[in-house]
Amino acid sequence: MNDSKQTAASGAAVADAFASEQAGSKLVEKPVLYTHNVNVWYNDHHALDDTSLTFNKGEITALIGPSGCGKSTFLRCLNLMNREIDGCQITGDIIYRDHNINTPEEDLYELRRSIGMVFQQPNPFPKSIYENIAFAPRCHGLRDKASLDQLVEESLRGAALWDEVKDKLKKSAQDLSGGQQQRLCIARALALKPDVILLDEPCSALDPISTLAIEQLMTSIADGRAIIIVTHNMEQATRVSNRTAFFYMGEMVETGETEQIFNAPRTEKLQDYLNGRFS
Amino acid sequence: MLNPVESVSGANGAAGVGTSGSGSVGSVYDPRAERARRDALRRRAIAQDKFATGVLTVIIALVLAIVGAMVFYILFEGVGTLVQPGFLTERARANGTAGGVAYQLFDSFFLLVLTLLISVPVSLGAAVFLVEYAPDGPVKRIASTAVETLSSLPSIVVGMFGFLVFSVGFGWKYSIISGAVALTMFNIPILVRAIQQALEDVPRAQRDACLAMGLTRWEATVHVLIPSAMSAIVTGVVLSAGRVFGEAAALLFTSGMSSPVRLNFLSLNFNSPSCAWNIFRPGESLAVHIYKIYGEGSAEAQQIVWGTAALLMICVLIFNVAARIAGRAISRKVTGQ
Repeated sequence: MNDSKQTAASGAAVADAFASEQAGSKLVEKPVLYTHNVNVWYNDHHALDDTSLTFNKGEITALIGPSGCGKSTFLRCLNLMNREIDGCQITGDIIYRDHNINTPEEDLYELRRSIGMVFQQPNPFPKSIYENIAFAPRCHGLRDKASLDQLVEESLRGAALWDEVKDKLKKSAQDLSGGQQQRLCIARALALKPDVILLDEPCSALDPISTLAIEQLMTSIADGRAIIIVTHNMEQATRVSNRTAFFYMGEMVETGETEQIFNAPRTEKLQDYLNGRFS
Repeated sequence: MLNPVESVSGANGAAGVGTSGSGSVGSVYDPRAERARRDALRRRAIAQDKFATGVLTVIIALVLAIVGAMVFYILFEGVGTLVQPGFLTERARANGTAGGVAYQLFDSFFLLVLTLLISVPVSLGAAVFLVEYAPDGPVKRIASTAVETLSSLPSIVVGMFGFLVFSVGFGWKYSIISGAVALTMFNIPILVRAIQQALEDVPRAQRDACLAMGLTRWEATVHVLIPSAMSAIVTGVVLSAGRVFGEAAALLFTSGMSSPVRLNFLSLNFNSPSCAWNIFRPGESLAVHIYKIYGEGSAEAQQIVWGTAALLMICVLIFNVAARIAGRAISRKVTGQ
């Protein structure tokens, strides 16, 4: 009990500090999601060290860095998916819509409805295309057939997939191509009307043309949402993101506007990484 | 004049000896010898491969021959009786040494259905708990060990336990329900393992996708994991049904070694000992029937034994084929058209 009060209190303090810090800056809207000194342990392994980042609506943030640097670990903190892993512990504040979600009392189900996630491997359910999208909203209480139909169409249009599948909504989603499956997974996330979408290397299993389609899609869904994408592909980061954060050995080393990160890196580690001195 | 030449040729000779000597330990590359060595190795590998293929082919041929011989022999001995009019539709007479096996056939299916009605829900629950809910720790380890131990108990021991607990302890005497519960204990470990395997084979990504959409573990299990695993689950259930159907030892002391002399299939008086649907009446499965009348010795009894054996074998074969067909059909249905 004491712990959670403390975290909540420190969360509020951070929020206040943030508000005063932002008062003089050009940002008008408060960030939808930000973290303060987030640490992650897998049992004894310290996988992420004091990471503080801010995410705004309408912005795409890329998390880059070599394998095992903690970028995916950080992403999986933002919807507390790490809590599903035995022995994983998250400390620090994760402030979403002005309250700290990293507390034992947080309603994970409610949280994950508004923070969507897309995985590395397209993972549509072994159900029809229609059911893939309608299934979760139905579980969350939307039973009306007409509303569901409308939601399915809206979500598929949002993911630029409607024209390709509108005649085969009852067909199995697993017969779609890899790129279509990944767009279906995005549509599935959109159906819950999230204001943050986390993408964990969404294109690494796709061919270049499907990758291009997903990248274009990201720009279009960023309207009114914070998009956070983990990517190994640095060209992809420069093509799609507004801001970039570079992770190395469990540490968030440098963050800034994407252009600055790639054209004028400030830290030596990032320079080395961009020059391919380690990978 | 000769001396220098001699000395030169001598030096040459010495050098020649030196080269050939070092060649034999491999410092000088001799392409022909090297190729010969590799060819020999290659030939040996190919010969080994051919030999292994031959041995494996013989082994598998032997297995097929044993199965084929058994099936053929049992059919050869049994089909004559099996196709006799009335064998499948008439009741046994003279303590099983004459007449048909209609009641035994019915009792076998009755036992099977009751067993599955009890064991499928229990096994499904246990497997879901072990795969989806139990944290890695002592509970899971103990439960898994318990299931494994149960699966390696000899069925005669399960039968003894069933007799002492259900027939005597619960006062169910020799009864269909007593037999069905004993078969359940025999069947649960097989089913738990099959369903556990089926659930574990559903990709981790499916689970994550559900949780990431704010669904509970239970919703994920009911709406995604079980449907995904359904074809494997059904295959497992039908295959286990084949084993239950042919089980004799666990039934000897529980459901008994005789069916009532006359069963009334139209009666709905569940307390009557002659009501076919009464679960507290004794019953006899096909396998127990074979065991019982094999010792009778008369030629007619032998004919009935072979006929029953053929019938049992055909039923089990049908279960196996049905398992595949059902599994495939369900997997098509669940994943859309």
